Amino acid sequence: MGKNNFRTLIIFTICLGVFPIFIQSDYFLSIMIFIGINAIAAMGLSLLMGYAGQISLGHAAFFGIGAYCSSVLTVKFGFSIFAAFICGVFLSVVMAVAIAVPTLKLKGHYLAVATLGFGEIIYIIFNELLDITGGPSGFSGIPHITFFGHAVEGGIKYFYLVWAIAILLLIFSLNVIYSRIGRALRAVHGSHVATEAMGVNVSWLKVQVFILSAVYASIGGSLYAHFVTFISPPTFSLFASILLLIMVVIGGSNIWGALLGAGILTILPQYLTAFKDFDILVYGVILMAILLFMPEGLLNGLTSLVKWLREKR
Amino acid sequence: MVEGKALTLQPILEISQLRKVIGGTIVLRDLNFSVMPSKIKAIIGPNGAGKTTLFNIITGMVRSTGGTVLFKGKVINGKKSHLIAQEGISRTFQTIELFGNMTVLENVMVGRHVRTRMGLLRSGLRLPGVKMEEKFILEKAQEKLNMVGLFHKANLMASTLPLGETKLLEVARALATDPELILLDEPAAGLNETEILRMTEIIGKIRKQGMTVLLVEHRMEVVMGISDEIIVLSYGEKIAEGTPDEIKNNRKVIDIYLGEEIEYA
Repeated sequence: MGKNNFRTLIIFTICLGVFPIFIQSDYFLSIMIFIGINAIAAMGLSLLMGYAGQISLGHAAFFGIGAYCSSVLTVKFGFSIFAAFICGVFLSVVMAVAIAVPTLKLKGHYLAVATLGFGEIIYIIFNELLDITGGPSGFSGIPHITFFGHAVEGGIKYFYLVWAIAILLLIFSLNVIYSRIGRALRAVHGSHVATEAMGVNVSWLKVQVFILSAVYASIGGSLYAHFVTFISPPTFSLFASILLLIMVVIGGSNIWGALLGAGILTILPQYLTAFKDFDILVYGVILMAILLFMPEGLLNGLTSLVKWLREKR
Repeated sequence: MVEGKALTLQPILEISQLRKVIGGTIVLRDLNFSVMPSKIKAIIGPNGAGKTTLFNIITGMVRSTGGTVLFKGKVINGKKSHLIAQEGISRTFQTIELFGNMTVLENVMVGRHVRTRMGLLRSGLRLPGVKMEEKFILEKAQEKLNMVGLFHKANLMASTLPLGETKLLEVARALATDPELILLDEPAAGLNETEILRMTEIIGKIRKQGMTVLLVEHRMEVVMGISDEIIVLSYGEKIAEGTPDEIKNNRKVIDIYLGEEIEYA
């Protein structure tokens, strides 16, 4: 993964490790937990957008599949949380294959259109399967995650659980990016025809990355469900898919940018409540300003800014 | 690479009755020719003769309308590009198709993709073998960069190289796939005399290592100097085939393409 990434990863992990020592407020810990959950889904989407060059407008559906699978299978069918988690991932993989195999054989943004439709279908299913999902009223009574009989409820324990998974997925992502697979993905951005001429099966590579991103979203969804213990369809709507997409775009379409984007877009609404009725307006203005002044995303924008300031000195 | 491989009498590439029609225009007209292993065969002809289309068909980027392309006795037309690269055919492009967002070294490392196996899961988990394979990719890529004389530029972004070096980098990247047949599409176009000399030497080295070269080129001093055989295309049709001397003195070729006054280095 390279020395710089390794160093950043170590510092990032240490910062997260000591965070609960200094900040023990349940409110801040729960915000950090939501950041971790969003970061997991955003990292997957960042691999798809930033490296495979594809857009998904239905990632909240995979997030929802993970959440509902975990919830329904544990509450209604008595599955263990781990088994329900795996079932969510498995179902997401099946769905991702069904969407990606036909669409990613074609050049262009067919995946975006297909995932938009897929997201809507899944949203309708969550709403209409009343007996299973609880429909618009939602699904409650989702158990907390347990480890050897000990419940990992909100607060510090869940913070460490979510961020441990996020860090593991971050390491996995960095390993992929700095491997032959990651190089091939970056090559596609440079020249699609040349990448294929070098023996890279570009469409299969994109399918694999889409599946991986769906798995990330599903894991995020399961963690979300067992944290909030109540889920309802609006959490997994088109708006949620767009929000995930904005996290990646604002952050800067690379894996660290996705973490930054997830952090900012999770925190921002919390602090904008001070603007009362104008919070959405201010939110929109901030996002527009970021994209206007830092079109490459916050991470790249800030890096360039720091470089510029250093050179100016 | 096929260094040291015994030469066979079978052609490595056989093109039979190859036809390509685009929007009613015949781009290739029932083309027939073959290429023997470890030889350099050049394809010349005026612009629009169908040379690049022929390369695109051989490498699976364009489908032929009719006819067959046999590589080592197996039909390859209709196959996808990446599968043809796996079979052992690699190429460079007339208009540079480098990965400008990557370093010179990384460009060549992408060329090793086809000869390595670690998938997404194994790479992500860094399972045993990944590190060793990465080392192997790096060594091979460095070796190819060394061969074309770009080793000292390994860490520069490919987009920062001058034209002459981008052409060399494309050759290095194609070589990294360990091809048995390499298709060079106008490798000397836009190069100065020194760069042409360097490119000619490299093409010679490629042949020495046992690879077969199919070359499209307009610079006649390059074509006549290094080719074993030449095919002349005009409007998708083969109008002549032979050794450089035969082609130089072919009346039809002189009238259609070469002209009277040309002298070759």
